[in-house]
Amino acid sequence: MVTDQLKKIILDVLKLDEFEFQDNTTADQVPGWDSLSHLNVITAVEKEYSIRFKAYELLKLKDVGDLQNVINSKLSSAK
Amino acid sequence: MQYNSIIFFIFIIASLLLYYITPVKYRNHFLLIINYAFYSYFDYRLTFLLIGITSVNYFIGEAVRKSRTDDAKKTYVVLGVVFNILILGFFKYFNFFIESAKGFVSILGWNINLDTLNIILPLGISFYIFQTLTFIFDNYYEFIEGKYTFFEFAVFASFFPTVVAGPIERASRLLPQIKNDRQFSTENIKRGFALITTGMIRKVIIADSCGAIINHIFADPAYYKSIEVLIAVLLFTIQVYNDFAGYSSISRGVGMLFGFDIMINFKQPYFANSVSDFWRRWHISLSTWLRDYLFKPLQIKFRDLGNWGNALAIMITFILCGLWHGASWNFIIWGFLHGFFMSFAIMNKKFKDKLKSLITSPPILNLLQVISTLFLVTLANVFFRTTDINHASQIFGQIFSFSNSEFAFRFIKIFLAYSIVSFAFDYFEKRYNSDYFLAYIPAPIKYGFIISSWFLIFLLIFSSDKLPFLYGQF
Repeated sequence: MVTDQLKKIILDVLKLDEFEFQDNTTADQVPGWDSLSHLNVITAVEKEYSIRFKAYELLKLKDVGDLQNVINSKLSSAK
Repeated sequence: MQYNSIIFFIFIIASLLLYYITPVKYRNHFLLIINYAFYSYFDYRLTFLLIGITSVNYFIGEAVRKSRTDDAKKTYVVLGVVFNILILGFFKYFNFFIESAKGFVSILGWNINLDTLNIILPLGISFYIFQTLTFIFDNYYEFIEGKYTFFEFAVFASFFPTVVAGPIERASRLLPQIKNDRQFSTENIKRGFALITTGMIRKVIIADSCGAIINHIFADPAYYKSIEVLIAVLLFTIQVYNDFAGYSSISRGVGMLFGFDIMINFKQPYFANSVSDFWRRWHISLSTWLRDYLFKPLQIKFRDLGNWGNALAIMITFILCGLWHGASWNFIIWGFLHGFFMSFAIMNKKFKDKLKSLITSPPILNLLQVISTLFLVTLANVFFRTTDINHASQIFGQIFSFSNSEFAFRFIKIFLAYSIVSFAFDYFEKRYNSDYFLAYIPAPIKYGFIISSWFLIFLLIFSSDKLPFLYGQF
């Protein structure tokens, strides 16, 4: 389940007003989310949650649901 | 076996009949046999190299899949990458590095005693190495579900429609298709035939006819006038696209006849409105390969540098993209130019947006963007076609000599004719949103067009000098 916090970060970075994210939403379905802006999304997420992804974790992401799962597991392991 | 040869047509028809007569569960066995037969037709000794590379990459890919820890997986991926780079380095780049090292050392005034080796470039090695590498990467990123047998992997690695010059398929896309049963379908045959027809028109009628003119002019540019050399450069932009898009379309069509869906390699690249948009439409199987397995890891590594990180990752990716095409400084310059155009656009995004806001009409803005993209692509193409830097500067020198030509109008007519035909194919592809649109156009036009096209294709195949596919040399 994609949280409102993550939705907000993505919308802010991509300068979108609204987009309905599902777990299986992929980057190419979201306007403006291309391979270049992907970097901005990732760094914004890292900053907001104060986490640091491993390259491998990012490269195997398939959809937004995967991104949410990695964030959740990072946050819970940090506790 | 070239696609534009009679032996290829005989091979396809005979193997297609036998393939569908063969019971479903033995079709992959039959496919493996014809894959190796097709490849051996060029040089049977190189088939052993293909089998060797297939075996090593399968076992490394399997080791990645079976490893339990991230570190172990990573070690096997590194091993796989090193192995494939060494193979490619030896066959493709060894002499280039020796020559470049010699040149560099002689600039410093020294002399070294290094000999180049007489190495033959194994056909399609750049393509099939990249294709088999995806098995290792896709296992690492867990894009592949479940286990595939060595036999299924061998069919994938030697898959005859893609082995010589792509499209560079992904293990995660093609292996499931190999595993699943494929039934005969008339729809697939129709679509496959439409794709082969389009591909042959692009290759034999458009690209080769342009090529015949270009080859003369590029062989001796000093002999030709300003506008004639300029037209040759413009014609090359049409040739290289139709040659490779034609090839890819035939590959896709042949795959479809056998029940496979091979990825689309070109999507109206000359309608692109920026150089990065161009790379989303040009040689898509290579550009997405580079994006997923090279650019993205680099980009993540450099992510703390912000936009500079993006620009740096692009420069590295495209210089290597140039080098992938061939061991020559020309290809490196070509890659560098593309990387530079894109990095420049990223670093000057604000200026670009400001410039764009000056033009209020969207269609005019789009047209200007398409034209400027085409200009940059055409400019870089000079380095793609010429043999060395001297040759490229000769071409530019001749264009800017502003010498008068009495045949100017004739050259312009030729250029316009081929551009219109090439444009028309792209236009219909876009309008029907399909590269096998020929299967869908109204019947009387369709049959008239297909019959007259094949008449012309066979006439050209029998009567004129066949030119090899440009991408076959990579």
